Amino acid sequence: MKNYNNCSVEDLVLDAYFRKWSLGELPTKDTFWEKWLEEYPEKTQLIEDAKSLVIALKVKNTDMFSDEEINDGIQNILVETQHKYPGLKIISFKWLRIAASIAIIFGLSWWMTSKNVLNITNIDTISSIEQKATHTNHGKQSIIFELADGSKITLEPQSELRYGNEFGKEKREVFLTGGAFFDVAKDTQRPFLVYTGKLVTKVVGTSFRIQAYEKDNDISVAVRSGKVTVYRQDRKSKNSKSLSTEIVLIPNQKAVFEKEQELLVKTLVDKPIRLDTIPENASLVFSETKVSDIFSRLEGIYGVKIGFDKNVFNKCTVTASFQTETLYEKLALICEIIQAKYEIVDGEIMIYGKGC
Amino acid sequence: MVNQKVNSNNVDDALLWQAFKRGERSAFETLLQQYYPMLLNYGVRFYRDKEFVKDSVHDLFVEIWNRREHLSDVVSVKSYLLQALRKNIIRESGRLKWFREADEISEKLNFDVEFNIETHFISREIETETLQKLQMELDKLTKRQREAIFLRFTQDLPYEEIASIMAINYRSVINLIHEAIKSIRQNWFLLLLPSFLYFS
Repeated sequence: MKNYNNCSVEDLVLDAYFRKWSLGELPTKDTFWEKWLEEYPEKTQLIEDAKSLVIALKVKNTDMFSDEEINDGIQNILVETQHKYPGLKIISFKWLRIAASIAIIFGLSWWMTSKNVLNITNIDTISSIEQKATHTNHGKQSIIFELADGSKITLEPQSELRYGNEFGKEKREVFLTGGAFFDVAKDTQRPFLVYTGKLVTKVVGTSFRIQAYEKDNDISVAVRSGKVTVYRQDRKSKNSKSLSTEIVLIPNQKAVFEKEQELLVKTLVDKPIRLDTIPENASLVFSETKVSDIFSRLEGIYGVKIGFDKNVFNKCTVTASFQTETLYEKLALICEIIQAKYEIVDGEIMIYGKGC
Repeated sequence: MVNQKVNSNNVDDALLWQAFKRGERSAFETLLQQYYPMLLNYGVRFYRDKEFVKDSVHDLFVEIWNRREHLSDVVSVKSYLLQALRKNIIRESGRLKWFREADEISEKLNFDVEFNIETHFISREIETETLQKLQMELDKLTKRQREAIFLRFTQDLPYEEIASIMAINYRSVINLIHEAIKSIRQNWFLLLLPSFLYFS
């Protein structure tokens, strides 16, 4: 180990090993500096000065660029360089500007003059493995397309879906920004994974809708059919997926991921649909029906669990006729009749009241 | 005093560069993943216009891809890219200046860094007033000193590479950094002395 006894503050600040220690970047096992200080307590002041200087001179990282922007930037470069004639694909002022600047560079480089300018056309498109497909919807209406595995995607406006060329070979992985409805072809061997920021949605074969717009504070995954698993993507602990961060959703349930706090909550979709084959607006008539029967009927129709205290509500009966009302409207009406309230807790409905 | 040891990354870098020059897309992609964010981060320090910096970095990568067969071998990909971007930004901003109104970019290119003093010193209960004085000392650094410090301490580049990026000689880089540290130290620690009597 090098002798630091005659070092000045400047020397220490410039020393890579000392800098690492000051910034807490050395492994905890490495106690060289602590021991050194014990040996030379008179150097405490010097060390402390140098340490402060190291920390003070650390330049703040700019947070001007989001991960999203960085990824998009990289994609743009890849797209622009993968075609023989990029100008034909992306005709814009941006391209003209690039063309102009490339022309200037070429013009100024004397060794480029004779042979090389035309060589641009010889660029081949190699290694298709790395290439990625991107579906972008800049329009005002949703677009529908099918992936190689037969899954159907309805991509909402201002949304983008990306996937690698490897899609479908071993895994089915797609990256979504914005909103989309997925009708996933069943394939138990290869689960279908949707990545949206820090949230991952995993399914085998089902249909569900994801809304992951950048402008929104949360990401939501709403299930239409089948079973869907949603979990947070922790880069550090990929293997130790803790139970609390994984949520299993059944139809009409929805997971909401609050981005800032990184909270993942299970709730119900905004408008639950009938899961039986009966049309949505078929009438539903109850006459002096026990409320517990009504609840279990609704449970059956919407596949949503309704919890209530049987003893409290055993005397309650309801007479009502429903047609176009949503599940929530029906519940509100029933609750008004039996003097109760309902809440959505963890993807289920809970009824509270004093009974009749 | 400084360890000028050979960066082990340089070996991988050299291989990566060779692969890139052969036109391997995966090598190009790795280059992008590795250096694109770093170059943005460097670029905005000259010019706080995000879109301008993004365009500059975009153009740089498109340019090196198109010219890849004619590029020479490089010792350090990182400093090659930093240097190239620096040149492009200076050239481009000169061009913009020529086109735009003079008062819009009245000053020469700056180098803008924010030092990380607050978190550390506040936790040590140093008064705001002292903190402001420290900040003032840091602000007094010239833009060249800031850039040299950034390249040395944030990007961990050796002196020779900093010299070639900034297009100045080796000795000047050492002087820039030493002078910066010395002047800050002399002016600061006089102010700070009482608070520094304990060791955490």
